Amino acid sequence: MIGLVIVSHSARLAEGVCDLARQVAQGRVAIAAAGGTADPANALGTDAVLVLDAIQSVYGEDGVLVLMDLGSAVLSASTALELLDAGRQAHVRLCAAPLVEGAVAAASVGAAGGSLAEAAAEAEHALAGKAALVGTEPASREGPADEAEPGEEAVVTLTNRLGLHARPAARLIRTARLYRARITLENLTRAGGAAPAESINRVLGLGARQGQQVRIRARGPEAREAVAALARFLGSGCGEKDDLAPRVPQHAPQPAAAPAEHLTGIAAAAGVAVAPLVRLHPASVAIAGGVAADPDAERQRLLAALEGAREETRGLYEWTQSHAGLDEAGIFDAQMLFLEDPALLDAVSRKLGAERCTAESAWQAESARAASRLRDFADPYLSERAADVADAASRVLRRLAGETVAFELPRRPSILSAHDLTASEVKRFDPATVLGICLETGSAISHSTILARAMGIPVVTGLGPPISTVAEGTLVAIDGDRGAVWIEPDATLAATLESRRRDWLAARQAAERKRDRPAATRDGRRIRVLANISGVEDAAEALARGAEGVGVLRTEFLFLGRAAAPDEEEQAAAYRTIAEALGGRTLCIRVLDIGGDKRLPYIDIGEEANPFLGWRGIRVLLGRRDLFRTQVRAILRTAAVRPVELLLPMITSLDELSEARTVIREAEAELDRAGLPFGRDIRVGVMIEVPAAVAIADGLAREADFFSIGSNDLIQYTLAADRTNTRVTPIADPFHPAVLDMLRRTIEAGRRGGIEVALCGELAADPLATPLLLGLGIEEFSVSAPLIPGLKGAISQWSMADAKDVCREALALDTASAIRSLLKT
Amino acid sequence: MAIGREAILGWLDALRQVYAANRERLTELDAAIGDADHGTNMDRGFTAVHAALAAQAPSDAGDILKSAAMVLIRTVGGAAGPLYGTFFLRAAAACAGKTELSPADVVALFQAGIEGVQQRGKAEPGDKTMIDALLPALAAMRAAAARGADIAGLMDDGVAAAEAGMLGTIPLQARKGRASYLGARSIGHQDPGATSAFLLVKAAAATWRA
Repeated sequence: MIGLVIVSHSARLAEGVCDLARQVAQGRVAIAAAGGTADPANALGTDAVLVLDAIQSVYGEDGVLVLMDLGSAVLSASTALELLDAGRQAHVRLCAAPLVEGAVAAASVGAAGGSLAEAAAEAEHALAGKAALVGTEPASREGPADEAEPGEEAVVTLTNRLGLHARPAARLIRTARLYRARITLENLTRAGGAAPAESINRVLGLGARQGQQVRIRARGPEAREAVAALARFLGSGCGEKDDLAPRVPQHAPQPAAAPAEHLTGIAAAAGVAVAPLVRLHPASVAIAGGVAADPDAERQRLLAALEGAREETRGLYEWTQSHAGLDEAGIFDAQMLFLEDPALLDAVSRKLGAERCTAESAWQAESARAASRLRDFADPYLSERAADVADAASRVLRRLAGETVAFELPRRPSILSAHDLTASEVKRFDPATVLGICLETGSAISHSTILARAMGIPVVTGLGPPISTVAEGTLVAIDGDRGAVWIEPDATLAATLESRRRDWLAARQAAERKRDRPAATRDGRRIRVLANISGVEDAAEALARGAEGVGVLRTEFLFLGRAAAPDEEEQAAAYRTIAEALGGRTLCIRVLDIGGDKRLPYIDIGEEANPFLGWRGIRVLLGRRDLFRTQVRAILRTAAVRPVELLLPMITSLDELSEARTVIREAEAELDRAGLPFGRDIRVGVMIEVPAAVAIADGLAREADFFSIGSNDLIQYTLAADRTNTRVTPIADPFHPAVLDMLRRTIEAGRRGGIEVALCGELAADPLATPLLLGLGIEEFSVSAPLIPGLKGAISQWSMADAKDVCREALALDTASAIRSLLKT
Repeated sequence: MAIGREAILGWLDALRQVYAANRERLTELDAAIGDADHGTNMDRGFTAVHAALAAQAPSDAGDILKSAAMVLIRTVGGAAGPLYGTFFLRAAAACAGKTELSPADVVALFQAGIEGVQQRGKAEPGDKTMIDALLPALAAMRAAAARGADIAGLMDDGVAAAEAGMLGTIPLQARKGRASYLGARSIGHQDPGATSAFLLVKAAAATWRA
């Protein structure tokens, strides 16, 4: 429950505002007045001590919002904040909202279970409704910021090729939501005002591309952390590897010498197919116009449709993630944010109130405006996003119109032609019946084509109107490698293409088989290659890429982006789903590794000058036993069904390991008492990430069941160099002799203690490092799924004897550059 | 020379007398560009501080200043309450646990208090506020302390700078607080807040010279 404090110069005004707020709060918001002074002779005024008392009286862990009238009320409230315990200060927020409107808005958000930040945001824009009624412009969302709080800013240059497009924008908004701060972004290169970091439309509308400068500004208690996190995100390529970004389409200029009529388009998804053509006619949605009798009823209908559309989008997200991977799924995350965009929803709600139109027409008008704003950009990639927005918007419209199926799918193997397709439509295709896709519009970089590529359906786009005139049932051949489509190919051409199709399918299958072959060195030493995953959906991808199991399941995905920690049931269900997806293969679950660059709103880490040397990993868990025990119980319960292992991050001492063991024993006893089934004697591993752990590795090896070397952190702690700080990146060299020595000591300690030593982290996937790691004696690698085929290939290049030779030579060298040049020869 | 608990109590008592004596003058200045209550407010606040400390004065200089701060916050009213309250709150923290204040401690006391006022009110130099008297005073005191001046010497420099700063508010246009609503009409009047701030420094200098 959030608290609300009303500060006014007048006791009666404060009480009156509280009465209004209580009416909407329905007992679900704690409300207190701090009006006037305690001095009856000078009753008009404000008193910081009264404000302090009021805050204390409604204080709870969900926080307190303080609204003030004018002038010294703000000074008294900020003085009261200073008088409050330091621990509580962070949970109290002074809000510059208009007193009456703000109080009512905040109370209604609080009554609906909204967070402090949501209540504050709603309160600050509470004048919008009144402004619409009076007929003036509402206060803009990015108006003058609250001066009572310190601001932070940073300017970053975007480095990834496609800039701030839908996927990174979605991730940026999700990241921004982790912090208690109001954040705006501005494209300095392009000029055009600031965009609130909560609105996907506005963030996309910045049109920020590679090489352009973006200013991040934040206000609020976690402004500094927010700016740092977003600057890191934007400055480091928005988390994108440019080789994964969609490629610029290649036209296929050379038409094969074919007698049949053929059309040339853009090669969007590889593959060949020959089949009869089926034309897809998109069902149009009838928009009910006219006047709505009851704007509130329309609002309710819209909310229900939005909820349904979000549900559908979430389904698409999950499906895409498991079938095509996280990167492809990103678009649906962006669409989710579009359907949650406060700026858009505000605009629709205002329109409903002001024009008394139907939910359909208000939604259509405002969502179309959002899409057309994107289309107006000269930038092809950005205007491409207009289709994604329209896709998400149509999901809402279809629900409002009571329609759920847009068209009939073919039942026999066919090649589809359409004007354009959305990703959600492609998702419904079955590659057994949809052999190929021909589109009039589109490019190679839409999400629908990315999805088709992942599903193995050849696509040619940009064919123009001619394809729409081809009669249904006509035999067509499609070549997605060259961007060509033949209408009624003759028997010879059809046979050639059929045989190319067989080759193509055979190559795909061969790749799949090869993928499942276990890794081994040239002389036959079996090496285990596992995947690092962070989600239920990743498990399927890991198997698809040939992982023998999961070396590290990062559990942070369950904890990030939410207001409270997941409970035991939710965690157990997630772990169990993953374990079952792996079908008995190894699943090593790393307990929550928070701190460092990762923060959660419900774990108060506090201000830290050096977060990476601060409260993180096992340190947090041992300080928050409640969270730790809950997670351990969820893991132990999973172990009742499938074999799982438990991995402890950031261990620096034996004490931490034995304390963690105690927690595990306690959790076992609790489960015993509760009579819940769980797996006993679970294997417990230690992450070797800190030089201290290497130094005491013999002791740790006696107590732990296995080691997992976290190379990323071990490198940065050994060399005291932050890999994300470009000035010291060259220092954080994994081939530094000190790092190799750390690896050697850890592996030898593991061998002496008779326990396995695995390596996870980027170093494991670096082909340059492969002989060294093999030579040192690593027999288990864990890398992110897309890197698995490459790693298996690198392992198969080496024999153990050669790897040991190279390793011996490398260990004798004393500079990173000498070691690198040795490895490159 | 160092100052102790008695000197702090002496300063607070001097402030009661100074604001009582200047009550009408401060109110007059405030009548020109504010709401004509600054003199009454300051007088009421420091009279209450005196009464509270007479009833029971803590033994530690920091605690005395903190008690004064809490009383001011509750009794002064208007913006001056939280601003002067914050001054003494931060000053109290700066000399917490000290029985005797060296010249450097005195500078630290004023520095903490003045920074508190600035953070609380968000005023910049030239906004026609207390800050226009306090910041020059602080700069002068620091310079004097750096030269090795004793407490009397650095306070004298502080008073001279505060007075110059106070007079310097006359041609300024107010940009903070109620006076800012007057716009250009605030020009030509001495700021009452800068005046009470000057008196704050001056009373310390007068008390601690002895």
